[in-house]
Amino acid sequence: MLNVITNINSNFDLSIVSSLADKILNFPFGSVAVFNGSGESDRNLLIATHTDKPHFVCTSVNGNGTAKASLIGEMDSRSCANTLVYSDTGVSAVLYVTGDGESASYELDLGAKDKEEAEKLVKTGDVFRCETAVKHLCADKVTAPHLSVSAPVTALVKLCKILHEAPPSCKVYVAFITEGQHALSGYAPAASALDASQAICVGAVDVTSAPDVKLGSGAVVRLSDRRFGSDKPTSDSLVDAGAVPAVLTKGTCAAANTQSVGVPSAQLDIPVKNINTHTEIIDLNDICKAADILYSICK
Amino acid sequence: MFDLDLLRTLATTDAPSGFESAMRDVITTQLNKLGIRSSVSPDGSVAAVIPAKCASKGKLMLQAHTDEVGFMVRSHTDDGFLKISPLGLRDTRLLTGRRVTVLGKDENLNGFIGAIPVHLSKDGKKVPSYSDLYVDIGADTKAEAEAAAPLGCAGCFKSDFETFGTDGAFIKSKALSGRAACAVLLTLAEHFSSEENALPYDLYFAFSPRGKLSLSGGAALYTRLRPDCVISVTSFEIPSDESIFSHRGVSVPLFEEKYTFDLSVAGQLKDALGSSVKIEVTAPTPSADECEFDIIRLKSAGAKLCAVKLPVKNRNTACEVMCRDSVDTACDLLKNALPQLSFM
Repeated sequence: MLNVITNINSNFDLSIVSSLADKILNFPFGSVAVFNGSGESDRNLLIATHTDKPHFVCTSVNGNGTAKASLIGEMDSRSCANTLVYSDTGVSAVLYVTGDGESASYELDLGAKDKEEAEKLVKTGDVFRCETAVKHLCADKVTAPHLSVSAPVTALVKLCKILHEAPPSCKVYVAFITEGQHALSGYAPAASALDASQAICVGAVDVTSAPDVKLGSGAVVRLSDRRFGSDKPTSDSLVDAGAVPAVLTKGTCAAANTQSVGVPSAQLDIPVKNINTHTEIIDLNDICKAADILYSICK
Repeated sequence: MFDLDLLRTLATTDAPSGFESAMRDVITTQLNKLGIRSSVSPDGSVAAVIPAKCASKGKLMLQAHTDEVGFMVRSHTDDGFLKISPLGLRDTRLLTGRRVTVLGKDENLNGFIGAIPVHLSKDGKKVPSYSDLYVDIGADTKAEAEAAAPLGCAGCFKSDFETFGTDGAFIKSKALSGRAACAVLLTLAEHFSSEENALPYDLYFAFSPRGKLSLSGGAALYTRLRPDCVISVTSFEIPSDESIFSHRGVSVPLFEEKYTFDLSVAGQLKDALGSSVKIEVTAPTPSADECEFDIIRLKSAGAKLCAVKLPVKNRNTACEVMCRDSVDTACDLLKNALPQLSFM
């Protein structure tokens, strides 16, 4: 069974794929595994996803020993209330949430008796993350927080393994972007810096967003959403490779950013149930299908 | 005076956001007629250049968008109707009953937008949402509709191009806001392509796709061509409580809510025609719309930027209205201003 790679965040290093790629490039926007290809095609294909997950940043320590925090990224505040979060320095805290939506405020209960004790544990700027353990449900479905980030990363790592064994016809840049939670801002610099002639951004889509988007139905090519219209030849080739076409009425996606710098782009999404909650659910088969579809395009 | 037939051709060409190939063909054909070579980028932008008459003193880019608002087929009902999702369309109040063209699998299809009739609706006063609307192309079954207009097909308004008012002073059509800007650029291309009007700098013409999808557009061409200055020819909405008669010129904005334009270039444009022609220098509606998003992107890419805005009533509907004078004013303004323009 496929293992979902969950131990990722903004300082994702490419050790898992460095031995597979022809070259590793590091940029301020993230890291790129380069596959030179056989040279039959002069395309420079960019396949990108982001590795940073929604997280909480400590903004101040309160007099009573708790700490205020801000949410970076999108997450349903109701779903993460009263859950455990962990800092990169090994501190655990219970996350309290008051309010809802954009007016939600977050507080970290560190178990400290006063401000002095709390300040020994955390300081402003410390990052707290949700647990990432994957729990198996029936059939090939799994649940965990942030699968909408982990699943695309897993698909791209799987793609790297396939590309290592069967080199592509064109040059392929598999990019792991570290600026996803900040308005997907790392994608456009990646498309520009790598001089991509075509881009496929890989992300996640909620199962309620279109009629044909279902867990286990395979990866979805987003033909349009509120701010994005796919490059037709690119999305057609994804559909020919087996992706499920879908037209969304809401949301925005990374491919809009690569498209905005003039690179013909399409968005391939993995269906996720309960997206942006503590209990996202995916079907592992969709990850495999996404990797296979992406390889078809590289071929 | 600009060529009204050219604007008619441009405005009646069906090119919703992301599906601008028909507009690209019209523009490249027109540029070819003028002997101006053009190139099409992979993202669908059309770029052309008229080189400087001698050693170039820089690069100026004139920019307009080629697309129009439209919709995409999202799913099919058992009755053979198409459920749709917007491509830049925002206001659903004016959609019901509108004629549309669907860019079908094999051919363009006529259709109209329907909705649950008011007298059968549970809440007749409610503004319909996209889930309430459908496009009827005359298909009887889901299979027939899927075969003719598969998921992902685009469509746009079907609306006649008409002139009205004294001496046909006003124009009504779909897609006028973007296509009038394209007509201005093509008129200027014709003017500056003649040897006697050649400029002391390279003049680029940029026709950008996906302007109605707010994260895309002209910034890509800016990044590729790296001009020293950009003049974006675009439009602004005449407020609903103001008459079109009071907006017969063009607007050269100096600042708007989220950004300032290059005051030196804007000032030169403002002064170019003197006081004989009304040129409004205003801060149009502060709400960010699709053109403004593109301007923000151009600004953030580092462009020295100025805008010439054409006043349009009922923007992004099937019945956009504007003065013919406004297009002429924009052409005259730029014809007069560009030879003396200092932007380096």
